[in-house]
Amino acid sequence: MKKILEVRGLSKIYGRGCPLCFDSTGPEVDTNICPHCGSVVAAHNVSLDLHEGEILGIMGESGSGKSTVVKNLFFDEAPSAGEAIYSDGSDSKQQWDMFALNAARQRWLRNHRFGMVYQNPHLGLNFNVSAGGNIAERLLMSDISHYGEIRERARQLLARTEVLVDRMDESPKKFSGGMQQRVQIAKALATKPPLLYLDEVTTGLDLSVQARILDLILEIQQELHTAMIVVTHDLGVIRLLAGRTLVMKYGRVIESGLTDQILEDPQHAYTQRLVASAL
Amino acid sequence: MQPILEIDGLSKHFQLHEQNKLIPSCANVQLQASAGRLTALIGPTGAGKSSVLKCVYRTYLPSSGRMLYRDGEGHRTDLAQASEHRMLELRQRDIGFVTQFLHCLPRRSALDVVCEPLVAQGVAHEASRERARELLGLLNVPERLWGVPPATFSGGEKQRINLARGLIARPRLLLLDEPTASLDPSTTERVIELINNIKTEGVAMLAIFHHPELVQRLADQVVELTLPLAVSEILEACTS
Repeated sequence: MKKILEVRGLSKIYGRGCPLCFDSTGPEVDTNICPHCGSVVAAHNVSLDLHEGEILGIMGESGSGKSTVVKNLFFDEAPSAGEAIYSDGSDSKQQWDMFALNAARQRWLRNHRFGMVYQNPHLGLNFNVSAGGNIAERLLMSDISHYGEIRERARQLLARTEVLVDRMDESPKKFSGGMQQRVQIAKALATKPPLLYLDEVTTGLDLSVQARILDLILEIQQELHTAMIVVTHDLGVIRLLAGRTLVMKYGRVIESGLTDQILEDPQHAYTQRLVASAL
Repeated sequence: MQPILEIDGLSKHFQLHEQNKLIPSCANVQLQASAGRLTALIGPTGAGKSSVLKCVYRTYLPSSGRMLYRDGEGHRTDLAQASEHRMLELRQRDIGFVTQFLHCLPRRSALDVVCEPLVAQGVAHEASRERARELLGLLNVPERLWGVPPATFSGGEKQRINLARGLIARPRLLLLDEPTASLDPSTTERVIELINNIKTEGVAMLAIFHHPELVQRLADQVVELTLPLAVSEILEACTS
């Protein structure tokens, strides 16, 4: 199994930061706000490895920093410190030192190699263009420009994610929450990225809709062998999707392991409480 | 012949932070499992028999001890120390686990649940389904259930699905946790037959059986676990 992503010491501070930030925040002191300068330490010293075709879960409560990690890795935000190496699946000799790249190279990597599905469809979709147009946008960014070809790919993708193809020319504004997530997934998959980030994709949806979206994600993972980082506070999603799991609190990874071990034999007091609180 | 698995001084206890308690489970377990042989774990309830299997599969993190596993190429891995990726690889290729209760992906037909381990190894869908049908037939699972998700199945039916899934990939090491606990006598006979078959194929097994009679009929080696030490003694051992 080839390593596709290696993250070392990723940190993100919101605010001006001070030399005391890291020592004054974290699970031991029960806060992520530095008492000296008021900065928020959203993530500190996060390290992880991801192999090809593997699903890694990041679990934690709101504010634990789990979304910050994927936002940094998708270049939505720039980290305060840390390193991330992306290795290409087809030739693992090709490596990108992600945070050392210039903006244009980062955009290229994001458009050609990564995909992201956000909890809030407004972040992932352009509501001023049609569902099909959203997918076309992504295909255009990855250098596919033949109109007929784009339209055909968009049709296939929407059919694959079970969106009514008859509605591909409507704005996703008019779609239900579950349908919007499906369009987001179709858009993220348009370029068949080797690496997909999923940030709370089923939060706030009906249970039956959640189930169908999770099934879809699993099917796609098996078909395309996509590596994924799944961020969620939902233990059920972790259990269903992830082979390995990181648990975060106040910006730190407090525990990591095989998912069944995290759920059946959690080591950290916080994880034990989290697992015991599952409905 | 060299054993496939050598467990030495394995102990497991659970530290519950919220309750501030240390719960002892298995302690100082020694055992071996070899190709084509079945090692049975016996002992009273609470002696930690299931914990031993879960430690080997790394669903539990062992508290101390070594679990040396020898793979097909002769490489030795201490399962207590192995990386998560190495464990996932071994679970996919080498080590199977028939747990006491069926845990499977929801909304998948029984046939697909049974196929899973083969599909994960890269066997073509139709070929794995063929093998799954064969096993479900051997285990007396009525054909009308094959296309239905096991969620609504009876205890015995679920157990047979679980067994079929464990047997289908012919692991090198198979962990069995009371695989016949809720089966009727005729199905139990079928299971005994299947276990004997895979034994002759060279699968090493580490098993817990509900009935002493099964231990007698199937085990080549018996390891008896005793009730764990009192918590105070564990604490002493830890601090000394």
